[in-house]
Amino acid sequence: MTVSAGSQITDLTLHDHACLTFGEPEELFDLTAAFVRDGLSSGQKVVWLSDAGPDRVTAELVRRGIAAERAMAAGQMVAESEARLLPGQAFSAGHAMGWLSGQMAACRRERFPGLRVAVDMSWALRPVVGVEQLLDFERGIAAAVPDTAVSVLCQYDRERFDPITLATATSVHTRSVAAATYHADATLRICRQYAPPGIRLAGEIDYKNSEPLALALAEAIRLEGDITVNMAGLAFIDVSCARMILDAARGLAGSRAAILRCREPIAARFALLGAAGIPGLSVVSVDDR
Amino acid sequence: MTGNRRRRKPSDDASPGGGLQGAGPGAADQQRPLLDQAFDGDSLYALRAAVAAHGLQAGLAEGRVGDLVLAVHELAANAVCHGAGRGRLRMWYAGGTLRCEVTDDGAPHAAGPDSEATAASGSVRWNIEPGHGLWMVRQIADQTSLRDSPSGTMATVSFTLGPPGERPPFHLDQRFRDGCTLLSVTGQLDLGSARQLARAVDDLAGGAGAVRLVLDLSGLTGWDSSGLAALVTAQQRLSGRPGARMIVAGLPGHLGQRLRDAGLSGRFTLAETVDGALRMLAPPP
Repeated sequence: MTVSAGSQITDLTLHDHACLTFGEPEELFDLTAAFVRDGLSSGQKVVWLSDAGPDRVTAELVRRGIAAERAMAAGQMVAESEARLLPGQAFSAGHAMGWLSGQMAACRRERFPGLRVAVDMSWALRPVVGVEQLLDFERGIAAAVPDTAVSVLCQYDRERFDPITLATATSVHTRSVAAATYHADATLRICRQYAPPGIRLAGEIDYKNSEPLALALAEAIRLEGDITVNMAGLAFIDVSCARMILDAARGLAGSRAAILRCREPIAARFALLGAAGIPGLSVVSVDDR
Repeated sequence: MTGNRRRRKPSDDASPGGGLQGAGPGAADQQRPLLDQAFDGDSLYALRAAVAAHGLQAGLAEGRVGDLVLAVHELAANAVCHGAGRGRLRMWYAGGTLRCEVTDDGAPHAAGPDSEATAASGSVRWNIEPGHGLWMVRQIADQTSLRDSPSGTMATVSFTLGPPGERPPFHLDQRFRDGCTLLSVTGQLDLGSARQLARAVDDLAGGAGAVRLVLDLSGLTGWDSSGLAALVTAQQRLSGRPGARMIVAGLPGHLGQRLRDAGLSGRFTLAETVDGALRMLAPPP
Protein backbone atom coordinates (compact mmCIF):
# COMPACT_ATOMS: atom_id res chain seq x y z
CA MET A 1 0.00 0.00 0.00
CA THR A 2 2.93 2.33 0.57
CA VAL A 3 3.43 4.51 -2.46
CA SER A 4 7.03 3.82 -3.17
CA ALA A 5 9.23 6.84 -3.01
CA GLY A 6 12.06 5.23 -4.93
CA SER A 7 14.43 5.98 -2.09
CA GLN A 8 14.00 7.12 1.47
CA ILE A 9 15.69 10.36 2.40
CA THR A 10 17.63 8.47 5.05
CA ASP A 11 19.15 6.19 2.39
CA LEU A 12 21.09 8.99 0.69
CA THR A 13 24.86 8.80 0.70
CA LEU A 14 27.65 10.86 -0.74
CA HIS A 15 27.90 10.96 -4.56
CA ASP A 16 24.10 11.02 -4.75
CA HIS A 17 22.42 13.60 -6.89
CA ALA A 18 18.90 13.16 -5.63
CA CYS A 19 15.63 14.69 -6.73
CA LEU A 20 13.27 15.39 -3.86
CA THR A 21 9.64 16.05 -4.75
CA PHE A 22 7.30 17.48 -2.15
CA GLY A 23 3.65 18.45 -1.96
CA GLU A 24 3.62 20.96 0.88
CA PRO A 25 6.14 23.00 2.88
CA GLU A 26 5.83 20.70 5.93
CA GLU A 27 6.99 17.77 3.82
CA LEU A 28 9.85 19.77 2.29
CA PHE A 29 11.11 20.91 5.69
CA ASP A 30 10.71 17.47 7.22
CA LEU A 31 12.64 15.64 4.50
CA THR A 32 15.33 18.28 4.24
CA ALA A 33 15.71 18.35 8.01
CA ALA A 34 16.44 14.62 7.92
CA PHE A 35 18.99 15.21 5.15
CA VAL A 36 20.62 17.95 7.24
CA ARG A 37 20.50 15.92 10.45
CA ASP A 38 22.15 12.86 8.88
CA GLY A 39 24.86 15.06 7.33
CA LEU A 40 25.64 16.89 10.55
CA SER A 41 25.75 13.68 12.57
CA SER A 42 28.32 12.19 10.16
CA GLY A 43 30.47 15.30 10.51
CA GLN A 44 29.81 16.51 6.97
CA LYS A 45 29.29 20.11 6.01
CA VAL A 46 25.74 21.04 5.07
CA VAL A 47 24.59 23.88 2.81
CA TRP A 48 20.89 24.59 2.36
CA LEU A 49 19.87 27.05 -0.28
CA SER A 50 16.22 27.84 0.27
CA ASP A 51 13.59 30.30 -0.89
CA ALA A 52 12.35 30.42 2.71
CA GLY A 53 15.37 32.41 3.88
CA PRO A 54 18.00 31.52 6.49
CA ASP A 55 15.92 32.54 9.54
CA ARG A 56 12.99 30.35 8.63
CA VAL A 57 15.31 27.47 7.75
CA THR A 58 16.99 27.73 11.14
CA ALA A 59 13.65 27.88 12.95
CA GLU A 60 12.31 24.85 11.07
CA LEU A 61 15.41 22.81 11.91
CA VAL A 62 15.36 23.80 15.59
CA ARG A 63 11.66 22.92 15.77
CA ARG A 64 12.62 19.42 14.65
CA GLY A 65 15.23 19.01 17.34
CA ILE A 66 18.30 19.77 15.20
CA ALA A 67 20.98 21.98 16.73
CA ALA A 68 21.21 24.14 13.62
CA GLU A 69 22.39 27.28 15.40
CA ARG A 70 25.34 25.48 16.95
CA ALA A 71 26.27 23.92 13.60
CA MET A 72 26.09 27.32 11.93
CA ALA A 73 28.20 28.95 14.62
CA ALA A 74 30.77 26.19 14.16
CA GLY A 75 30.78 26.66 10.40
CA GLN A 76 29.45 23.17 9.78
CA MET A 77 26.22 24.45 8.34
CA VAL A 78 25.33 27.30 6.01
CA ALA A 79 21.79 28.48 5.23
CA GLU A 80 21.72 30.52 2.06
CA SER A 81 19.01 32.47 0.30
CA GLU A 82 18.11 31.45 -3.24
CA ALA A 83 19.18 34.97 -4.24
CA ARG A 84 22.68 33.45 -4.39
CA LEU A 85 21.64 31.67 -7.57
CA LEU A 86 19.95 34.70 -9.09
CA PRO A 87 22.21 37.70 -9.20
CA GLY A 88 20.20 40.54 -10.77
CA GLN A 89 17.10 38.32 -10.83
CA ALA A 90 18.55 36.32 -13.71
CA PHE A 91 19.66 32.72 -13.77
CA SER A 92 22.65 31.32 -15.56
CA ALA A 93 23.75 27.70 -15.28
CA GLY A 94 27.36 28.81 -15.43
CA HIS A 95 26.98 31.13 -12.45
CA ALA A 96 25.06 28.49 -10.48
CA MET A 97 27.73 25.86 -11.15
CA GLY A 98 30.32 28.42 -10.07
CA TRP A 99 28.45 28.78 -6.76
CA LEU A 100 28.40 25.01 -6.27
CA SER A 101 32.09 24.63 -7.13
CA GLY A 102 32.83 27.40 -4.61
CA GLN A 103 30.95 25.48 -1.92
CA MET A 104 32.82 22.28 -2.79
CA ALA A 105 36.17 24.07 -2.67
CA ALA A 106 35.35 25.70 0.67
CA CYS A 107 34.36 22.34 2.13
CA ARG A 108 37.67 20.77 1.05
CA ARG A 109 39.56 23.74 2.46
CA GLU A 110 37.73 23.41 5.78
CA ARG A 111 38.63 19.70 5.80
CA PHE A 112 35.14 18.34 6.25
CA PRO A 113 34.91 14.67 5.21
CA GLY A 114 31.98 15.41 2.93
CA LEU A 115 29.42 17.95 1.76
CA ARG A 116 25.64 17.87 1.55
CA VAL A 117 23.91 20.55 -0.50
CA ALA A 118 20.14 21.06 -0.61
CA VAL A 119 18.86 23.37 -3.35
CA ASP A 120 15.27 24.52 -3.58
CA MET A 121 14.37 24.95 -7.25
CA SER A 122 11.17 26.92 -6.60
CA TRP A 123 12.72 30.02 -8.14
CA ALA A 124 12.29 28.31 -11.52
CA LEU A 125 8.51 28.62 -11.14
CA ARG A 126 8.79 32.37 -11.46
CA PRO A 127 9.35 34.20 -14.73
CA VAL A 128 13.10 34.48 -14.17
CA VAL A 129 15.41 35.32 -17.06
CA GLY A 130 17.43 32.23 -17.96
CA VAL A 131 15.01 29.75 -16.39
CA GLU A 132 15.47 27.51 -19.48
CA GLN A 133 18.99 26.82 -18.20
CA LEU A 134 17.63 24.89 -15.19
CA LEU A 135 18.27 21.60 -16.92
CA ASP A 136 21.83 22.67 -17.82
CA PHE A 137 22.41 23.32 -14.13
CA GLU A 138 21.06 19.86 -13.27
CA ARG A 139 23.29 18.23 -15.93
CA GLY A 140 26.22 20.21 -14.56
CA ILE A 141 25.57 18.86 -11.06
CA ALA A 142 25.23 15.34 -12.44
CA ALA A 143 28.65 15.70 -14.06
CA ALA A 144 30.30 17.31 -11.01
CA VAL A 145 29.17 14.99 -8.22
CA PRO A 146 30.59 11.54 -9.15
CA ASP A 147 33.96 10.73 -7.61
CA THR A 148 33.60 13.47 -5.00
CA ALA A 149 32.46 13.37 -1.40
CA VAL A 150 29.46 15.51 -2.30
CA SER A 151 25.75 14.82 -2.27
CA VAL A 152 23.23 17.24 -3.80
CA LEU A 153 19.50 17.22 -3.05
CA CYS A 154 17.44 19.17 -5.58
CA GLN A 155 13.96 20.09 -4.40
CA TYR A 156 10.90 20.30 -6.63
CA ASP A 157 7.34 21.17 -5.66
CA ARG A 158 5.42 18.41 -7.45
CA GLU A 159 2.14 20.34 -7.27
CA ARG A 160 3.54 23.39 -9.04
CA PHE A 161 6.12 22.14 -11.52
CA ASP A 162 4.66 20.87 -14.77
CA PRO A 163 4.94 17.12 -15.33
CA ILE A 164 7.33 17.46 -18.27
CA THR A 165 9.86 19.57 -16.37
CA LEU A 166 9.53 17.18 -13.41
CA ALA A 167 10.04 14.08 -15.54
CA THR A 168 13.03 15.59 -17.35
CA ALA A 169 14.60 16.83 -14.13
CA THR A 170 14.11 13.47 -12.41
CA SER A 171 15.83 11.65 -15.26
CA VAL A 172 19.18 13.37 -14.70
CA HIS A 173 19.30 12.44 -10.98
CA THR A 174 20.69 9.26 -9.46
CA ARG A 175 17.76 8.87 -7.09
CA SER A 176 14.27 10.14 -6.58
CA VAL A 177 13.13 10.85 -3.04
CA ALA A 178 9.73 11.61 -1.51
CA ALA A 179 8.00 10.97 1.78
CA ALA A 180 6.64 7.43 2.09
CA THR A 181 2.92 7.97 1.71
CA TYR A 182 0.27 5.64 3.08
CA HIS A 183 -2.75 7.58 1.98
CA ALA A 184 -3.31 10.75 0.01
CA ASP A 185 -6.52 12.19 -1.29
CA ALA A 186 -8.37 15.49 -1.14
CA THR A 187 -9.31 15.12 2.54
CA LEU A 188 -6.49 13.15 4.14
CA ARG A 189 -2.79 12.60 3.86
CA ILE A 190 -0.86 10.03 5.92
CA CYS A 191 2.89 9.90 5.43
CA ARG A 192 6.12 9.10 7.18
CA GLN A 193 7.82 11.85 9.11
CA TYR A 194 11.59 11.76 9.09
CA ALA A 195 12.67 14.47 11.53
CA PRO A 196 11.73 13.68 14.20
CA PRO A 197 10.83 10.11 13.11
CA GLY A 198 7.23 9.05 13.11
CA ILE A 199 4.17 9.71 10.99
CA ARG A 200 2.25 12.76 9.94
CA LEU A 201 -1.50 13.09 9.46
CA ALA A 202 -3.13 16.07 7.78
CA GLY A 203 -6.77 16.73 6.92
CA GLU A 204 -9.58 14.66 8.45
CA ILE A 205 -9.40 11.00 9.46
CA ASP A 206 -12.07 8.53 10.46
CA TYR A 207 -12.54 4.76 10.59
CA LYS A 208 -12.74 4.56 6.79
CA ASN A 209 -8.98 5.17 6.69
CA SER A 210 -8.02 3.04 9.64
CA GLU A 211 -6.19 0.60 7.36
CA PRO A 212 -3.50 2.99 6.08
CA LEU A 213 -3.27 4.46 9.59
CA ALA A 214 -2.64 1.01 11.05
CA LEU A 215 0.05 0.36 8.44
CA ALA A 216 1.72 3.72 9.05
CA LEU A 217 1.73 3.14 12.81
CA ALA A 218 3.07 -0.39 12.40
CA GLU A 219 5.95 0.87 10.25
CA ALA A 220 6.66 3.71 12.67
CA ILE A 221 6.86 1.24 15.54
CA ARG A 222 9.46 -0.73 13.62
CA LEU A 223 11.72 2.34 13.60
CA GLU A 224 14.09 2.77 16.47
CA GLY A 225 13.71 5.32 19.22
CA ASP A 226 10.92 7.67 20.10
CA ILE A 227 7.95 8.14 17.82
CA THR A 228 6.15 11.34 16.96
CA VAL A 229 2.64 11.36 15.56
CA ASN A 230 2.39 14.81 14.04
CA MET A 231 -1.26 15.83 13.80
CA ALA A 232 -0.70 19.60 13.68
CA GLY A 233 -2.49 19.67 10.34
CA LEU A 234 -5.32 17.37 11.40
CA ALA A 235 -8.75 18.98 11.74
CA PHE A 236 -10.78 15.91 12.72
CA ILE A 237 -10.13 12.47 14.18
CA ASP A 238 -12.83 10.05 15.21
CA VAL A 239 -12.76 7.86 18.29
CA SER A 240 -11.73 4.68 16.50
CA CYS A 241 -8.62 6.27 14.96
CA ALA A 242 -7.73 8.08 18.19
CA ARG A 243 -7.95 4.76 20.02
CA MET A 244 -5.78 3.10 17.41
CA ILE A 245 -3.06 5.69 17.99
CA LEU A 246 -3.32 5.28 21.78
CA ASP A 247 -3.15 1.50 21.42
CA ALA A 248 0.00 1.85 19.33
CA ALA A 249 1.51 4.10 22.01
CA ARG A 250 0.52 1.61 24.69
CA GLY A 251 2.24 -1.09 22.66
CA LEU A 252 5.57 0.66 23.08
CA ALA A 253 5.24 -0.42 26.71
CA GLY A 254 6.98 2.60 28.14
CA SER A 255 10.36 1.58 26.75
CA ARG A 256 10.19 4.32 24.12
CA ALA A 257 8.42 7.64 24.20
CA ALA A 258 5.49 8.50 21.98
CA ILE A 259 4.72 12.15 21.33
CA LEU A 260 1.36 13.20 19.94
CA ARG A 261 1.41 16.71 18.50
CA CYS A 262 -2.07 18.04 17.83
CA ARG A 263 -4.42 20.96 18.17
CA GLU A 264 -6.14 21.56 21.48
CA PRO A 265 -9.58 19.99 20.72
CA ILE A 266 -7.90 16.82 19.51
CA ALA A 267 -5.60 16.81 22.54
CA ALA A 268 -8.75 16.91 24.68
CA ARG A 269 -10.08 13.88 22.83
CA PHE A 270 -6.93 11.92 23.64
CA ALA A 271 -7.12 13.06 27.26
CA LEU A 272 -10.72 11.82 27.60
CA LEU A 273 -9.67 8.51 26.08
CA GLY A 274 -7.14 8.09 28.87
CA ALA A 275 -3.88 9.32 27.32
CA ALA A 276 -2.54 10.44 30.70
CA GLY A 277 -2.57 6.86 31.95
CA ILE A 278 -0.23 5.55 29.24
CA PRO A 279 3.42 5.41 30.31
CA GLY A 280 5.83 7.25 28.03
CA LEU A 281 3.08 9.05 26.14
CA SER A 282 2.91 12.82 25.98
CA VAL A 283 0.32 14.91 24.20
CA VAL A 284 1.63 18.26 23.05
CA SER A 285 -0.84 20.94 21.98
CA VAL A 286 0.22 23.02 19.05
CA ASP A 287 -1.18 26.49 18.72
CA ASP A 288 -3.18 26.65 15.56
CA ARG A 289 -4.13 30.28 15.78
CA MET B 1 -42.40 10.31 9.27
CA THR B 2 -42.47 12.64 12.21
CA GLY B 3 -46.13 11.90 12.76
CA ASN B 4 -45.51 8.17 12.81
CA ARG B 5 -42.90 8.47 15.44
CA ARG B 6 -44.92 10.75 17.64
CA ARG B 7 -47.96 8.54 17.76
CA ARG B 8 -46.03 5.38 18.26
CA LYS B 9 -46.17 4.97 21.98
CA PRO B 10 -46.66 7.26 24.93
CA SER B 11 -43.40 6.16 26.52
CA ASP B 12 -41.61 8.29 23.91
CA ASP B 13 -42.07 11.38 26.00
CA ALA B 14 -40.91 9.72 29.18
CA SER B 15 -37.69 8.53 27.64
CA PRO B 16 -34.51 10.46 28.35
CA GLY B 17 -34.61 12.20 25.00
CA GLY B 18 -38.09 13.53 25.68
CA GLY B 19 -37.07 14.89 29.04
CA LEU B 20 -35.99 18.33 27.87
CA GLN B 21 -38.10 21.09 29.24
CA GLY B 22 -39.51 23.88 27.16
CA ALA B 23 -40.23 23.48 23.49
CA GLY B 24 -40.10 19.75 22.94
CA PRO B 25 -39.69 17.97 19.68
CA GLY B 26 -43.43 18.21 19.20
CA ALA B 27 -43.27 21.97 18.80
CA ALA B 28 -43.54 23.66 15.46
CA ASP B 29 -39.73 23.86 15.41
CA GLN B 30 -39.50 20.20 14.68
CA GLN B 31 -41.41 20.55 11.45
CA ARG B 32 -38.71 22.85 10.16
CA PRO B 33 -35.43 21.09 10.77
CA LEU B 34 -32.29 23.13 10.29
CA LEU B 35 -30.75 20.17 8.59
CA ASP B 36 -32.18 16.96 7.23
CA GLN B 37 -29.47 14.94 5.54
CA ALA B 38 -29.17 11.33 4.52
CA PHE B 39 -25.76 9.72 4.90
CA ASP B 40 -23.86 6.54 4.22
CA GLY B 41 -20.28 5.49 4.74
CA ASP B 42 -19.06 7.61 1.86
CA SER B 43 -20.70 10.86 2.88
CA LEU B 44 -19.63 11.31 6.49
CA TYR B 45 -17.15 14.01 5.52
CA ALA B 46 -19.97 16.06 3.96
CA LEU B 47 -22.17 15.34 6.96
CA ARG B 48 -19.52 16.66 9.35
CA ALA B 49 -19.04 19.79 7.25
CA ALA B 50 -22.80 20.49 7.24
CA VAL B 51 -23.10 19.90 10.99
CA ALA B 52 -20.14 22.18 11.72
CA ALA B 53 -21.63 24.96 9.60
CA HIS B 54 -25.00 24.71 11.34
CA GLY B 55 -23.44 24.48 14.79
CA LEU B 56 -21.52 27.70 14.19
CA GLN B 57 -24.59 29.36 12.74
CA ALA B 58 -26.60 28.37 15.82
CA GLY B 59 -24.10 30.21 17.99
CA LEU B 60 -22.22 27.31 19.59
CA ALA B 61 -18.71 28.20 20.72
CA GLU B 62 -15.81 26.80 18.69
CA GLY B 63 -14.98 23.96 21.07
CA ARG B 64 -18.63 23.01 21.31
CA VAL B 65 -18.95 22.85 17.53
CA GLY B 66 -16.09 20.33 17.53
CA ASP B 67 -17.94 18.27 20.13
CA LEU B 68 -21.18 18.41 18.15
CA VAL B 69 -19.40 17.26 15.00
CA LEU B 70 -17.74 14.37 16.85
CA ALA B 71 -20.99 13.28 18.53
CA VAL B 72 -22.94 13.27 15.26
CA HIS B 73 -20.09 11.55 13.44
CA GLU B 74 -19.84 8.77 16.01
CA LEU B 75 -23.60 8.14 15.96
CA ALA B 76 -23.66 8.17 12.16
CA ALA B 77 -20.60 5.91 11.95
CA ASN B 78 -22.32 3.54 14.36
CA ALA B 79 -25.38 3.44 12.11
CA VAL B 80 -23.17 2.77 9.10
CA CYS B 81 -20.97 0.12 10.70
CA HIS B 82 -23.36 -1.62 13.07
CA GLY B 83 -26.79 -0.71 11.71
CA ALA B 84 -28.35 -0.37 8.29
CA GLY B 85 -25.20 0.94 6.62
CA ARG B 86 -26.84 4.29 6.06
CA GLY B 87 -29.12 6.68 7.88
CA ARG B 88 -30.46 10.14 8.31
CA LEU B 89 -29.53 13.11 10.46
CA ARG B 90 -32.07 15.71 11.47
CA MET B 91 -31.13 18.76 13.47
CA TRP B 92 -33.44 21.37 14.95
CA TYR B 93 -33.80 23.92 17.74
CA ALA B 94 -35.61 22.61 20.80
CA GLY B 95 -36.04 24.68 23.93
CA GLY B 96 -32.68 26.41 24.05
CA THR B 97 -30.81 23.42 22.72
CA LEU B 98 -29.62 22.21 19.38
CA ARG B 99 -30.97 18.72 19.01
CA CYS B 100 -29.65 16.12 16.58
CA GLU B 101 -31.38 12.89 15.79
CA VAL B 102 -29.61 10.10 13.97
CA THR B 103 -31.67 7.20 12.66
CA ASP B 104 -30.51 4.19 10.72
CA ASP B 105 -33.41 4.42 8.34
CA GLY B 106 -34.43 1.43 6.37
CA ALA B 107 -32.69 -1.14 8.48
CA PRO B 108 -33.61 -4.44 6.85
CA HIS B 109 -34.38 -5.87 10.28
CA ALA B 110 -36.45 -2.86 11.38
CA ALA B 111 -39.40 -3.87 13.51
CA GLY B 112 -42.90 -2.61 12.89
CA PRO B 113 -44.52 0.08 15.02
CA ASP B 114 -46.05 -2.55 17.31
CA SER B 115 -42.88 -4.31 18.22
CA GLU B 116 -43.41 -3.78 21.90
CA ALA B 117 -41.03 -6.59 22.80
CA THR B 118 -38.04 -4.67 21.54
CA ALA B 119 -39.27 -1.45 23.02
CA ALA B 120 -39.92 -3.01 26.40
CA SER B 121 -36.51 -4.63 26.62
CA GLY B 122 -35.01 -1.23 26.00
CA SER B 123 -32.44 -2.81 23.77
CA VAL B 124 -31.12 -1.11 20.72
CA ARG B 125 -30.28 -2.83 17.50
CA TRP B 126 -26.90 -1.25 16.96
CA ASN B 127 -24.14 -3.30 18.29
CA ILE B 128 -22.77 -0.75 20.69
CA GLU B 129 -19.57 -1.87 22.26
CA PRO B 130 -18.27 -0.21 25.37
CA GLY B 131 -15.30 1.89 24.43
CA HIS B 132 -16.81 2.66 21.08
CA GLY B 133 -17.73 6.14 19.97
CA LEU B 134 -20.93 6.13 21.97
CA TRP B 135 -19.00 6.27 25.20
CA MET B 136 -17.40 9.47 23.96
CA VAL B 137 -20.76 10.83 22.84
CA ARG B 138 -22.09 10.43 26.39
CA GLN B 139 -19.11 12.37 27.69
CA ILE B 140 -19.47 15.34 25.39
CA ALA B 141 -23.18 15.83 24.62
CA ASP B 142 -25.39 17.64 27.11
CA GLN B 143 -27.96 14.87 26.73
CA THR B 144 -27.90 11.56 24.95
CA SER B 145 -30.63 9.05 24.36
CA LEU B 146 -30.90 5.86 22.37
CA ARG B 147 -34.01 3.95 21.55
CA ASP B 148 -35.69 1.86 18.93
CA SER B 149 -38.10 3.53 16.59
CA PRO B 150 -40.31 2.05 13.88
CA SER B 151 -37.68 2.86 11.32
CA GLY B 152 -34.69 1.52 13.17
CA THR B 153 -32.53 2.70 16.02
CA MET B 154 -32.74 6.36 16.87
CA ALA B 155 -30.08 8.26 18.76
CA THR B 156 -30.59 11.81 19.97
CA VAL B 157 -28.04 14.22 21.32
CA SER B 158 -28.65 17.74 22.60
CA PHE B 159 -26.25 20.63 22.90
CA THR B 160 -27.32 23.54 25.06
CA LEU B 161 -27.22 26.94 23.44
CA GLY B 162 -26.08 29.62 25.83
CA PRO B 163 -28.47 32.40 26.78
CA PRO B 164 -27.53 35.32 24.52
CA GLY B 165 -25.05 37.70 26.09
CA GLU B 166 -25.55 36.63 29.70
CA ARG B 167 -22.58 34.37 30.22
CA PRO B 168 -20.20 35.46 32.99
CA PRO B 169 -16.64 35.83 31.73
CA PHE B 170 -14.19 33.08 32.61
CA HIS B 171 -12.19 33.76 35.73
CA LEU B 172 -9.76 31.71 37.74
CA ASP B 173 -9.10 32.74 41.31
CA GLN B 174 -6.37 31.15 43.38
CA ARG B 175 -5.95 31.63 47.13
CA PHE B 176 -4.66 29.79 50.15
CA ARG B 177 -7.09 28.77 52.89
CA ASP B 178 -6.74 26.48 55.90
CA GLY B 179 -3.55 24.98 54.52
CA CYS B 180 -5.16 24.22 51.16
CA THR B 181 -5.01 25.81 47.75
CA LEU B 182 -8.44 26.98 46.71
CA LEU B 183 -8.90 27.34 42.94
CA SER B 184 -12.24 28.89 42.01
CA VAL B 185 -13.50 28.65 38.46
CA THR B 186 -16.15 31.06 37.19
CA GLY B 187 -17.76 30.91 33.75
CA GLN B 188 -17.28 28.45 30.93
CA LEU B 189 -14.43 25.94 31.05
CA ASP B 190 -13.79 25.44 27.37
CA LEU B 191 -11.36 25.52 24.47
CA GLY B 192 -10.59 29.15 25.21
CA SER B 193 -10.05 28.83 28.95
CA ALA B 194 -9.16 25.22 29.81
CA ARG B 195 -5.47 25.90 29.29
CA GLN B 196 -5.48 28.39 32.20
CA LEU B 197 -6.73 25.74 34.58
CA ALA B 198 -4.27 23.18 33.21
CA ARG B 199 -1.42 25.61 33.74
CA ALA B 200 -2.47 26.40 37.31
CA VAL B 201 -2.67 22.70 38.15
CA ASP B 202 0.68 22.02 36.45
CA ASP B 203 2.28 24.75 38.57
CA LEU B 204 0.84 23.22 41.73
CA ALA B 205 1.80 19.67 40.80
CA GLY B 206 5.28 20.77 39.81
CA GLY B 207 5.90 22.69 43.04
CA ALA B 208 7.43 21.41 46.21
CA GLY B 209 5.54 20.08 49.23
CA ALA B 210 2.20 18.41 49.66
CA VAL B 211 -0.61 19.63 47.42
CA ARG B 212 -4.08 19.87 48.87
CA LEU B 213 -6.32 21.39 46.25
CA VAL B 214 -9.96 22.36 46.47
CA LEU B 215 -11.34 23.04 43.03
CA ASP B 216 -14.36 25.26 43.58
CA LEU B 217 -16.67 24.81 40.59
CA SER B 218 -19.73 26.53 42.07
CA GLY B 219 -19.40 29.34 39.54
CA LEU B 220 -18.88 26.99 36.59
CA THR B 221 -21.52 27.44 33.88
CA GLY B 222 -20.52 24.56 31.62
CA TRP B 223 -17.74 22.84 29.75
CA ASP B 224 -16.80 21.46 26.39
CA SER B 225 -14.54 18.47 25.84
CA SER B 226 -11.43 20.62 26.36
CA GLY B 227 -12.79 21.79 29.72
CA LEU B 228 -13.81 18.29 30.77
CA ALA B 229 -10.42 16.98 29.67
CA ALA B 230 -8.73 19.66 31.80
CA LEU B 231 -10.68 18.45 34.86
CA VAL B 232 -9.89 14.80 34.18
CA THR B 233 -6.24 15.60 33.52
CA ALA B 234 -5.97 17.71 36.69
CA GLN B 235 -7.26 14.80 38.74
CA GLN B 236 -4.87 12.36 37.01
CA ARG B 237 -1.96 14.75 37.38
CA LEU B 238 -2.45 15.06 41.12
CA SER B 239 -3.31 11.40 41.64
CA GLY B 240 0.07 10.53 40.19
CA ARG B 241 1.81 12.68 42.78
CA PRO B 242 2.40 11.18 46.21
CA GLY B 243 0.74 13.13 49.00
CA ALA B 244 -1.41 15.19 46.64
CA ARG B 245 -5.18 15.38 46.92
CA MET B 246 -7.83 17.19 44.94
CA ILE B 247 -11.46 17.68 45.90
CA VAL B 248 -14.04 19.12 43.54
CA ALA B 249 -16.46 21.34 45.44
CA GLY B 250 -19.79 22.92 44.62
CA LEU B 251 -20.29 21.34 41.21
CA PRO B 252 -23.69 22.65 40.01
CA GLY B 253 -26.39 19.98 39.88
CA HIS B 254 -26.78 19.76 36.11
CA LEU B 255 -23.02 19.41 35.64
CA GLY B 256 -22.84 16.76 38.35
CA GLN B 257 -25.52 14.89 36.45
CA ARG B 258 -23.51 15.14 33.25
CA LEU B 259 -20.45 13.82 35.01
CA ARG B 260 -22.48 10.84 36.23
CA ASP B 261 -24.00 10.29 32.76
CA ALA B 262 -20.51 10.28 31.31
CA GLY B 263 -19.45 7.69 33.86
CA LEU B 264 -16.74 10.03 35.12
CA SER B 265 -17.98 10.98 38.58
CA GLY B 266 -16.15 8.05 40.13
CA ARG B 267 -12.85 9.58 39.12
CA PHE B 268 -13.36 12.61 41.35
CA THR B 269 -13.77 13.20 45.05
CA LEU B 270 -16.77 15.48 45.27
CA ALA B 271 -17.89 17.79 48.06
CA GLU B 272 -21.07 19.84 48.28
CA THR B 273 -19.35 22.99 49.44
CA VAL B 274 -15.89 24.50 49.74
CA ASP B 275 -16.15 24.34 53.53
CA GLY B 276 -17.03 20.66 53.33
CA ALA B 277 -14.03 20.06 51.07
CA LEU B 278 -11.72 21.93 53.44
CA ARG B 279 -12.97 19.79 56.33
CA MET B 280 -12.25 16.65 54.30
CA LEU B 281 -8.69 17.84 53.72
CA ALA B 282 -8.08 19.04 57.25
CA PRO B 283 -5.44 17.02 59.12
CA PRO B 284 -6.96 14.82 61.85
CA PRO B 285 -7.03 16.59 65.22
